[in-house]
Amino acid sequence: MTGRTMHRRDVLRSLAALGLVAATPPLAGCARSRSAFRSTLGTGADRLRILNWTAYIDDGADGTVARFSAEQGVDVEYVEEFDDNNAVYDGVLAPSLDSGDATGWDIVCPTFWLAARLVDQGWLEPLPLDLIPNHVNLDVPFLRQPFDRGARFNLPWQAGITGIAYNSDLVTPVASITDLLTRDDLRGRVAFFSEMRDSLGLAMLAGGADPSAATLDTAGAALDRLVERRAAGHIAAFADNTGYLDGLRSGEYAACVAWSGDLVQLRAERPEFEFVIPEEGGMQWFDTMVVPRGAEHGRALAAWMNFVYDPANAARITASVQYISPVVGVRDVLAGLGGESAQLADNPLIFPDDATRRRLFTWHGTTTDEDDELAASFEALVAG
Amino acid sequence: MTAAGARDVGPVIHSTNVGAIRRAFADTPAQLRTISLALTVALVVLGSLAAWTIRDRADATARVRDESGPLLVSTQELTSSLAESDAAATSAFLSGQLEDRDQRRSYDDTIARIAVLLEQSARTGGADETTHDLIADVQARTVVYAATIERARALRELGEPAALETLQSASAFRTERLVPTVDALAERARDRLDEDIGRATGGSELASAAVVAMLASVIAASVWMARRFRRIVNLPLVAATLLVLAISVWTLTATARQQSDLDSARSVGLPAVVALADARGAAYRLQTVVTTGLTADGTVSDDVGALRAAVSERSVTDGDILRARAGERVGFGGVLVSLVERPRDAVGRALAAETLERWRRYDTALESLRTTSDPQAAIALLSSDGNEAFTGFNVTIDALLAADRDVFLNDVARGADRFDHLALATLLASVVAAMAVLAGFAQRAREYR
Repeated sequence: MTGRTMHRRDVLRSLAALGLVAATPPLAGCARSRSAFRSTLGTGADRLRILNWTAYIDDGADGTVARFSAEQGVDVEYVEEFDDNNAVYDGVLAPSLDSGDATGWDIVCPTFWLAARLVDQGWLEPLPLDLIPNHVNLDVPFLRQPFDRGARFNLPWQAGITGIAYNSDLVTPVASITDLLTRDDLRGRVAFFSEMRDSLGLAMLAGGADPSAATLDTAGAALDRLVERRAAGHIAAFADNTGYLDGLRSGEYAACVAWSGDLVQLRAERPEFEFVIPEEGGMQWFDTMVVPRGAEHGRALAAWMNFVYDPANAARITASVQYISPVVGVRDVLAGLGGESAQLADNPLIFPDDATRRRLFTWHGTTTDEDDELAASFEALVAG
Repeated sequence: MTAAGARDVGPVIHSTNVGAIRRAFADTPAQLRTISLALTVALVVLGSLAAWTIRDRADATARVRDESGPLLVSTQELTSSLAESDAAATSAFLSGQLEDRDQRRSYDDTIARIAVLLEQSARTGGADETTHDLIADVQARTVVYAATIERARALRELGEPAALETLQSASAFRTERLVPTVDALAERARDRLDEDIGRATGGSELASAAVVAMLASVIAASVWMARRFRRIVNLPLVAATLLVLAISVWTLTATARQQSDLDSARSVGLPAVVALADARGAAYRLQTVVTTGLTADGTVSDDVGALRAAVSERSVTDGDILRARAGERVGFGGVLVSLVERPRDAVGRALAAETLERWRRYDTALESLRTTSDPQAAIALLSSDGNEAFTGFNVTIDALLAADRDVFLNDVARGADRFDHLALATLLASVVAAMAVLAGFAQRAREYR
């Protein structure tokens, strides 16, 4: 044996010298996928337990859950209590999965970065793709995520854009994050999200940094900027997914960071609210269906995934929640329905064109340890 | 000692041995003592032989699991990742001076993946100097290749006409200098895998013969004892027989199953991994030729037709996809079709069917390109729908590769698991059985007196 055995850091160092490799490996799930993996997925077909975010599906007697239950004969317990990624990770997933137990949920819908962490930890079942032929309808940008190339462990639910919402009755247009952070007429009437990657990502863009190649330094600088703005009384609050809408509706916030789907829905009843992708760029994200280890109802969950990946069914969900659908063919279905549905097909916030996509950034680059370090500081900021 | 003296000693030794043997079998207690000692030694020797053989085989299987198996998989992925990097770098040129972030990210991801694969190859390279030398060569050449791409990129950003020429020289370097080194590494990895699998599945006759001989010995002793002493049951001997029987069954079963696991890994999972790399390499060559042609003079090269046919002889139909999903023969030529037709489980077949579907989308985009007369429209088409369709195909190939790789590595890991604790158990069982034999014969001797 010579002394020529090389380590990844050597290779990375060589390539980094050329500016080719960012700090982070894009193959987070690689270590797991190398080891022998045996599925513990059950085969139950009669029941299904899904944990998802609030107001994220068409409901009612003709809603997706009801129609699926009727068509497939599956008893579905659809619970809208997924309010926060960290809370679900700490309270629902980690306690069971870390000790090798099942969570009791068949499908949960974390945001992509948490799904990446779960894949890396080996806490997810591979999807039973033989029972999900509509997997082929997954749109390519979601198929090529570095944490799960080919989407064998996750199937995206909805995607969205994080940008700026403002009340046009109260303030003049707010076109940039810089405006949001500095304009005197907004002082004390601005909210950011308690979701770290959205808030830090936008602050990074305002500072000229790229959140899709985030580092501890660039993210830390953005965090410092938010801390300073909060201390100066410019930012009134870091709100959660329902709190920011309440504040916007009540007039407490004249402008704030916002999610596209929420604003498309809100504008239907309150047209004075506007949503813009900031001049510096917006953040893009997606929430995704994953199957925790030991889920009992493998056949039922596959039937559900196949059902919601049928473009006709996916289009109903899109028409209701008005986020970006990851399912190919939804736009054609909506256009074919005519009326208000057809108008949705032309909405760039639901079907972003290439020009819009180029202005969007997805958080990428920091390691799990760096994320944890940032999260600790950010949580202190949010807590005030 | 004189020669005469030596001649004198011979008959003395001979008569001493004969006397000793006579004394050993002079009466029944002596017979019992002698046979028990011989049986004890035989059991320990045979048990040690079986344990040593099993241990050797287990070590070789562990090497397949931990070194040569993952090494071969990494080198196959390296081959296709290099092809992907070239396609991604070339595609990034389509967007003009203002670089497309997604294309750039795709290239960066590929280079980062190559770095990971090189590290994995080095980690699983074991003590083989040739392997490590080849990995070092690949690394050095990858750096040169990537540096050339960066130079081309910088020139393009400056609007220099030499950018395209530099890009083409990077591509040529990859084809002429880098890929052959990777091929040599893959060949070395394949040789090592064959060698390790050979060792992991060899010597089974010796281990089996040893445990069968152990079993025959204790059974023969039990039968002899029963006949000689009016079928009185000797419990320690019965216990020894059962113990040796158990270890024999365990050894024979584990050996057969390990052989089956490794045969499956070699005949099913491994060829699928190799075929996938071949199919993907062919598709990337096609994408590179298409992109380079459009970038250079706005045309699609005549080579494209042959390259398309090499991947898939004709257009894919709905029926082909359904047949692939059902595990039936698709029935026409091309590296992609022969890949899809490989035996797989239901999930693997689903991924293979999806790969065909995504290839069809890319092939459709290529057909549109071929019939587009306006070069700018063709470039626009390729940089949007064409690249997206190609990426979809490419990523699905990755997923299929991951599934086939898991099947291969799981077979190998299962084979290695078969020998967990077996060598130690065999050795301990032989010692315990030998002690039981001694105890059983001693008990009979006491009863006889």
